[in-house]
Amino acid sequence: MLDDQRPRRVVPRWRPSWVTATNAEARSTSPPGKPTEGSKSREDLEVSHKIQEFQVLRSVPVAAELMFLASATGNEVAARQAAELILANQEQIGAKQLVKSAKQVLNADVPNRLESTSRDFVRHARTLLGIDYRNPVLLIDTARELTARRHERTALRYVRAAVAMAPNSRFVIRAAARYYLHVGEHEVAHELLRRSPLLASDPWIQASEIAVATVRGKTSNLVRQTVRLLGDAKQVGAEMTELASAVGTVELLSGSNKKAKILFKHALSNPNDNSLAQAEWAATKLNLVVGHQALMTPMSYEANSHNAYRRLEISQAIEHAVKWAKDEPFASRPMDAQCYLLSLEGRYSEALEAAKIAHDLDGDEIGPSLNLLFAQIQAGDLDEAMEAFLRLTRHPDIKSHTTHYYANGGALAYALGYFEQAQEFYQRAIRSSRMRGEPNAEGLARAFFARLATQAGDPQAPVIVQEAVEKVPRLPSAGAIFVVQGLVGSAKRKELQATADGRVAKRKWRWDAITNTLMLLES
Amino acid sequence: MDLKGKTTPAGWLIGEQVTFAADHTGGYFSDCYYVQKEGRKAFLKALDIEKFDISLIGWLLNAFNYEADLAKLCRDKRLVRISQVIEYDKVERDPAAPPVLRYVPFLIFELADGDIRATVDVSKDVSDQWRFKVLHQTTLALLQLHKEQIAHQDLKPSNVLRFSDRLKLGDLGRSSLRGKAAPHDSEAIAGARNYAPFEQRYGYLRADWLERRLSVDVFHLGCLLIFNFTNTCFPELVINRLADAYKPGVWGDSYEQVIDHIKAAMIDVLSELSEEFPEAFRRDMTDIVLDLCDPSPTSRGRAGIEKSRAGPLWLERYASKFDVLQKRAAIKPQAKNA
Repeated sequence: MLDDQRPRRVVPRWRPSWVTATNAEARSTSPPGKPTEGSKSREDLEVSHKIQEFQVLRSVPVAAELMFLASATGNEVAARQAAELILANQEQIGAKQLVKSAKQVLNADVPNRLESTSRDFVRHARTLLGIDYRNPVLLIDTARELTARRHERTALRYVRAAVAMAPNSRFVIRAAARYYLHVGEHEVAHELLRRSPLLASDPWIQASEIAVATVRGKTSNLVRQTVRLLGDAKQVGAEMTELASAVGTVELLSGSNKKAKILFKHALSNPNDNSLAQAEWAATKLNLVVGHQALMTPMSYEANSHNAYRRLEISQAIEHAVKWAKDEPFASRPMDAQCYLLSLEGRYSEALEAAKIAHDLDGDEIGPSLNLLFAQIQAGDLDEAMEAFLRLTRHPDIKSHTTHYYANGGALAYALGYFEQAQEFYQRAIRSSRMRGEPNAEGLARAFFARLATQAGDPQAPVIVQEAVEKVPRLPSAGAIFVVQGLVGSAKRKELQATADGRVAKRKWRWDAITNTLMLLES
Repeated sequence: MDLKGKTTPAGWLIGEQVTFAADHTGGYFSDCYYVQKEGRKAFLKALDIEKFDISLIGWLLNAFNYEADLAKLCRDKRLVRISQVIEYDKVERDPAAPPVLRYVPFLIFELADGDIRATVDVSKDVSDQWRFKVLHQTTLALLQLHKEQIAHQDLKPSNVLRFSDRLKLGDLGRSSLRGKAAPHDSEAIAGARNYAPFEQRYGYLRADWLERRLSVDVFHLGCLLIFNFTNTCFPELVINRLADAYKPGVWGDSYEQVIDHIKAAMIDVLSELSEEFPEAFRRDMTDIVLDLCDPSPTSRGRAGIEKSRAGPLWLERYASKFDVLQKRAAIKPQAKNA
C-alpha cells in the first residue's frame, strides 16, 4: 500500500528562467510604449540607406550590418541577400557566430541552443558565472538545479547572491521564496516577499506573499485591499490569476463564499497551473465549473496527472507525473506520485527507482520511506526491505502512519511466504485505518491485500478478493478500485469503472489551514 | 539636388556626387560630393533640402547647424582625432528657387582613405594588432570629445575613418554637447539601431547627461570591439537570445526589472562569441565587453571605479588597456626551444 495523500502546498512554482519566460508570470504588467511615427520613418530610412550602401560595397562587414539591421526591422528580403553574401564567404570566415546568424536568417539547419537541465547544466552555468558572477538569473537557475540534486546548502549561497543583486526581479524573488519554503525557512521566505520593493505594485509578488503568509498561519495585510480591487473589477488579466486565487482562498476560508466565488471566477478567466489547482480545490464548495479547457492550461502536469488518475487512466497519469517531475525536479511529490501510480500498474522495478529518488529528495520523511519499503518488497529486494521494516519501527512519525506500516508488513510477509502473518498484518492495517478514520487508506489496504494474496497463492485469496470487491467501491480510493479491477471479471470491472467515473465530477479537497495545504479526498 | 560644377565661397570646386564609398560618412539627410581646390581633395556634405517636406526644413537646418557648430568647436579646440571641418557655409543651389530653398548649407571635411570596415573583415587575414589599434585610436578620439563635454552618440564602424597617419572619428550629426539642447535630443535612439544600447531600445532614458549620452559612447566602444573581431552586431545577438516576453516592444514594465534577463542573455552570447577572440586576449576582451556593454547605464564602463569619482573621462583606462593589448599583439610568440 502506498501513501497518495501527501499534502499539496499552494506556493509559487520554481521553474528554470527559460521556462518561466514562456508563462504569464514573465509578462510585464504594463503594455510597451508604442514607437512614434518619427522613429519608424527613421528606421526605414536607416535600412534603405544601408541597402544602398550594400549595393555599392559588397563586403562581409557591410553585409553583416545589413543582415542584423534588416532582420531586426522585418525586412526579410534584404536580410536574406546579406546573409547569402556572408554564406558565400563562409569558407574564409569559418564556423563563427556570423555564419550561424546568416544560416538562421536563411532558415538553414542550425541546431538550437540546448536548454539543458542535464548534469552538465551546473558545469556550464559555473563556466558562465566564471565569465561574470553578477548574473542573478543564472544564479537562481543553478540554485534550482543544485536543490534538485539535494545540495540545498550550496544552493543557498547562490540564492543569497541573486537576491542581493536583483531585489527588483520578480523571477528572482519568487524563486528565492520558493527555495526558502522548500528548505523549511518559511519566515525568511515571507520576509523576503514582504520587503520586496515590488510588493506594492506587482501582483505576482503579492500573490506569493499572501500564499506564504498563509503557510505561516497569518493573514497578509494585502488581502483587504486586493479583495476590494478585484471584487469590483469586471475582468482581470492573466497577471492577476494567482493573486485572485490566493485572496479567493483566504475569503473562502473566512466564510465569505460570495466574494470567494467572484475571485475564483476571475482566476479561472486566464488560469495558470497554480491557480487552476486552487480553483479545483474550491470548485465543489463554490459550485464552480473547472472545465476540460482549464486542464489544457500549459504545464498543468500535476492537475492532469490527478485527473487521469481519478478516471483510472493510470498510464496517462504516469505520463503527466513524469512531466511534473521534470518540471519540479527538487520536489519529492511528483516522484512519490510516480511510485504510487507505477505500483498500481504493477511496474515495481520502475516504482522502486522513483521511490528511491523521492526518498533521496525528502530525506527521512516517513511517507516516502514507507513507499520505498513497499517498492523494495515488490521488486524482490527483501533483505534491504526487512532491514528497513525493522528500522522504521523507531521512526518518530510511525504512529501517524500505522496503517501504511502494517500493510507493508503484510506485503513483506507475503513476499516471504508467511501467509498467516501476512493476513494478520493486513487485518491490522484495515483495523487501524478504520480506527483512525482513513477510508482512503482502508481501500488501498484491502485492494493490495487482495492482489498480493492472489499473487502469492494464498488459499484464502478468493475470500479476500471477494471482500475487497464488496468493500472497495464504497471506499474513496480510485487507486484501490483500479487494483481490484485487475482481480475480477469483465462485468465487475465495468461496474467498478462506472463507480470511478461517477466520482470524477464529485471530487472534494480538504484544506489544512495551518500549513496552507490541500488534501485530495475522493467522494 | 545637383551642386556639381558650383564653387564654394572659399573656392572649392564641387565635383562628382558620391553615392556610397568607403571614404566618407554622409548621414541620412545629406548629399555628398567630392570637392577640389589647388590640387587638394576634400569631401562636401550638403543638406539635401529637396528630399524633405517643407515643414521639416526648419528642423533639418537646426540639426545641420548643430553639427556644424560642433565640428567648428572641434576644429577650434584642435581635436585632431575628429575628422576636421574645412569650410562651413552656404552655396546657391538654384537662383530661381524661393529664398528659403535657394541656398543649401554645406560642410567640407578632409577626405578619408576609407572607414575601418574593410580592414576588419573576418573573411580576410587581419592582424590582432590592427584590430586593437583601431580600438585604441577610437578610444583616444572619444576621450578628446568627452574632454570637451561632447558625446558622439553614433560611434559605429563606418564612422571610424582611416587617414594616412591615424584614425579619426567622423559624423557628429547625432552628437550632444553638454548644456546645449540638440534637435535630436528627444529621440529614443540617437545613433544607429544596430548598435543602440539596450536601454534606448526599451525607451528608458536617464536624466543625467553622463548616463544618458556619454554612456552611449561607452556602449558603442564595446560593440566596436565585438565587431572588429567577429563582424557581428552585439546588441542584436543579445536581444535575439532573450525570451520573447523580455524583448523590446513586448516588455512594458520598468527597465530595471528586465536588466537581469538582458545580462543573462548577454553573458550567454559572450561565452560563445569569446571563442572567436584570440586566445591570448580572451579573458581581457571578455571583461572589457562586460564592462563597456553593461546593460545598466549607471555602472557601464565603471568596473572598479567608485561612483563618486564619476567624471566624463572614465574611458581613460581603456585607452591604456587597448594600447597594452595592441603592443602585446605586436609581439611575435617565441618558439619554445629558441
